[in-house]
Amino acid sequence: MPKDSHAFLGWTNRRFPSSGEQEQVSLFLGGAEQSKNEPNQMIVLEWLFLTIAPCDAAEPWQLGSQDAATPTMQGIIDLHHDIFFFLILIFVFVSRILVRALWHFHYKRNPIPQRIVHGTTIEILRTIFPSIIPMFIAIPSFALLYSMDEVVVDPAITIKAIGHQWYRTYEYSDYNSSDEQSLTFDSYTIPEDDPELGQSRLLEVDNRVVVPAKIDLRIIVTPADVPHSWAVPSSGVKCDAVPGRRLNQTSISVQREGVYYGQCSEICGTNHAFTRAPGNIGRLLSPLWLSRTTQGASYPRSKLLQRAAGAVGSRGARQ
Amino acid sequence: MAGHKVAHVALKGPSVVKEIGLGIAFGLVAGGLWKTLQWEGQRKTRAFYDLLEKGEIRIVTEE
Repeated sequence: MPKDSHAFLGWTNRRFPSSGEQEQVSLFLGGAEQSKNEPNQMIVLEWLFLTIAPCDAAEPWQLGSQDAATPTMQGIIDLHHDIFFFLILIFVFVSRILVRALWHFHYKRNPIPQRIVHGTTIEILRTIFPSIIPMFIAIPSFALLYSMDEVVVDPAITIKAIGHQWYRTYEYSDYNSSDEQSLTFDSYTIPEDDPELGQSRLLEVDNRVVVPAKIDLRIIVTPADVPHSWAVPSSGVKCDAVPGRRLNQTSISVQREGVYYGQCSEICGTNHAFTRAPGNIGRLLSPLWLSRTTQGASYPRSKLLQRAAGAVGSRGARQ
Repeated sequence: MAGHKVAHVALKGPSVVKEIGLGIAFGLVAGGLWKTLQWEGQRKTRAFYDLLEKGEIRIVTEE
């Protein structure tokens, strides 16, 4: 587990307390926490971000989506908010009409009910208006749908995520020369009894997937045995792994560094609930990502990652 | 529906047009409040990424 923790404006993620420190935390509205030892000038800035979850994993009693880390997820959240406007409009309208009808036609206030058999005008109106609302919903919905379906022609890196019962294998094969094997590693969920202090229960893995940030990535998802699904809520990704000679592809472009968590999203056996789909997408860093992740220049894995980082870095410089 | 009023022996009945109009108005107000919340959230997100881009905040601590 990397030593460094996430600190946003001096606020340390409560899931990663420094070892040996007793963190005293106080709860803000909305559930964000602040250490009592923090300087007060940080409080003003932190209040701005109360509505943003402090980490990219599910929170207890969470109501909304996890914070978006990709344009896709931001689009999904925005579409939800757009549709929710119409939901509120209709809910308030219908509730008011219902309450007013109950009020006006109470048996004491209105002992003799009127015999109404039809009303042509109102029937026309209540057909036309509800058919216009889905048109307003469809426009942003289709725009997002087709933008999510766009295939990235030239991704910086392609990662294969292979689902097994009940772990993941990740393969980076872009930057190895012909006589080298691809960088391949397995990613197992850390069992419930084993996590270190500060680790999230049943979300952490032993080997995280490390990818660069702010760059187009292609993820190819396939299983080795039964169906699985690779899902990372904060990236807005869910890609099924379908057995047979099928490779499903998805693209993401993560806009900020961080550790992102996901879980297997297709029933795959008895330990389905204990399989981490991405095995953490892991640290998403700038094109200088390599220096923070490898164990040393001579480590075999690092050579491949160096080459990858170099390619990604030069691509980043071109951009 | 003649007159858009509901007939009653003694009391003036409710006006259907008025009730529907008020219902739509309340719905738009409530929807408008939600939209304000949505725009506020978008503003905060934009501010966060702007600060991140400028380097005024960081997500990862120095090692």
